[in-house]
Amino acid sequence: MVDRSRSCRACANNQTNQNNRPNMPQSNSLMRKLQAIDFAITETVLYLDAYPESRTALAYYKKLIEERDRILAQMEGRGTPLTHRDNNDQGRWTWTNGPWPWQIDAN
Amino acid sequence: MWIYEKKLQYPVKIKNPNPKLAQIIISQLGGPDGELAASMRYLHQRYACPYDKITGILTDIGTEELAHLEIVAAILYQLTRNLSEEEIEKSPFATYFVDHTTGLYPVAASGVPFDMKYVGVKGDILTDLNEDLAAEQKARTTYDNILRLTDDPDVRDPIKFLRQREIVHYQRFGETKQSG
Repeated sequence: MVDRSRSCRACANNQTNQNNRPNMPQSNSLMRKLQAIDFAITETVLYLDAYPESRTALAYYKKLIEERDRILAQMEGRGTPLTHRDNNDQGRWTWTNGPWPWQIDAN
Repeated sequence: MWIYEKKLQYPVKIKNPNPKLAQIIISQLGGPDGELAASMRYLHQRYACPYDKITGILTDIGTEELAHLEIVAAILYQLTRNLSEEEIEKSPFATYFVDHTTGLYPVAASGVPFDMKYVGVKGDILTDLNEDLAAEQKARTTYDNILRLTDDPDVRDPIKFLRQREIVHYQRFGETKQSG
């Protein structure tokens, strides 16, 4: 059996290193909501890049950002930070906590 | 500059490892029409672009392609987990495994490593936009081919998302070329 713990001692199979696992895993459904809203934002951004004067797109963009802020507020302090600028003063550096996005636990 | 967000643009949750399929899908990592080629193409074309609007589009689509590269990597990572030596030995994946184990090294399905020769940066925005339109179609075709080669719904789902994005990018580049 080839598992990653043989080829890399710091990794264990496809799991995160148990020592780095956060105490409160990120809620899957909140992450899904964030992914969905960020996707809508990406689409709107590409549209606005091409049509910077579009009032409708600008209003939609504003609405999406507000919704995103609401979702981020719910996610605060839970699980692993979204960027390394969001460590949120949890008393320790949690940025490197697993799971990482390509690992099955994160999805 | 880039800040990394610790999430995939689209979720990847694959129940069944499949090294044979991984060897095919790796073309979207390191192949001629894959996400690494796409991101390098757009992000480099933007530097000499004389129009702000187009520089914006190249920056934003180029950045999105990096996120797609990560999704392809996630698919490959999950397809190559918990493999028995027998499974590896029996599949075409064995020739990749000997050099890279289950690490992710950008190659095409043929095993040819990624090459910047796949990328055109001509320094002329009209030329570059035409290259970009072709690139998006080639990527879309590659995803079509991947869909032809697997029935696994867990794999098809993110692949269909990525394919759809290529179509949208094509439309955006097309509109940009029109307005220019």
